[in-house]
Amino acid sequence: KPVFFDTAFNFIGYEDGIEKE
Amino acid sequence: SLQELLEKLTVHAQNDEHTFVLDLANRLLRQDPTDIKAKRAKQVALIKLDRYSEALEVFGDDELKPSELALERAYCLYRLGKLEVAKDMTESAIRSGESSVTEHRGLLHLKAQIAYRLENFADAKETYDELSKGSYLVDGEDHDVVVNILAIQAQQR
Ligand SMILES: [K+]
Repeated sequence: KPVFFDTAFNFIGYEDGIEKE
Repeated sequence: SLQELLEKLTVHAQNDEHTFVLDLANRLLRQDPTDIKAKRAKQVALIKLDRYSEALEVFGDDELKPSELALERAYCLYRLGKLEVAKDMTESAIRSGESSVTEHRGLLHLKAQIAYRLENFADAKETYDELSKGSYLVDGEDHDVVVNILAIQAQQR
C-alpha cells in the first residue's frame, strides 16, 4: 500500500489556528 | 483560574498534554456544563487522543449548526469508518461557505482523504489539485500533498 498522510488531522486544533504534530 | 490555565495550556499543547487538557476541561464542565471553550477543548483533546466516539458526544446534535465544528465531527466519523456520513457533512460544510480559511482548507484535506478511502481516486486528485492552487498553511503541507498525489497515482495504475 502506498504511503498516504492524514493531513486533515493537522488542521484540528484548540484554536482556529493550526497545530502541526 | 482554571479557565486561564486551560487557555494557556491549549495554545501549544503537545501529545502528552492532551490528557491534562481533557482533565482540566472535565473539571470546568463539572462547574459549568455549558462552558463552550471547555467543551471545545475537550473535543479536540479527545480527537488528539484517538477517542473519536467520545469526541462526537461532547456536543449534542441540537447545540451546533450543521457547519459548526464540521471538520472535527466529520473527522471523527471518518476515523470511525462512517465514510458516507463524513463525506456528506464535509461537502455540505464546504458548500456552506461559513468556515474560516483554515477550517475550509482542513475540510478540503478531509474531503480528499474520504474520496481516497472510498477509492474515488479521480475525486481525491481533483481536491488535491484545488489545495495545490491555494496557500499552504501547515509546515510540511506541500510535501504531504505531493506524497498523497503519488499514492493516488500508484492506486490508479
Ligand atoms: K480547527
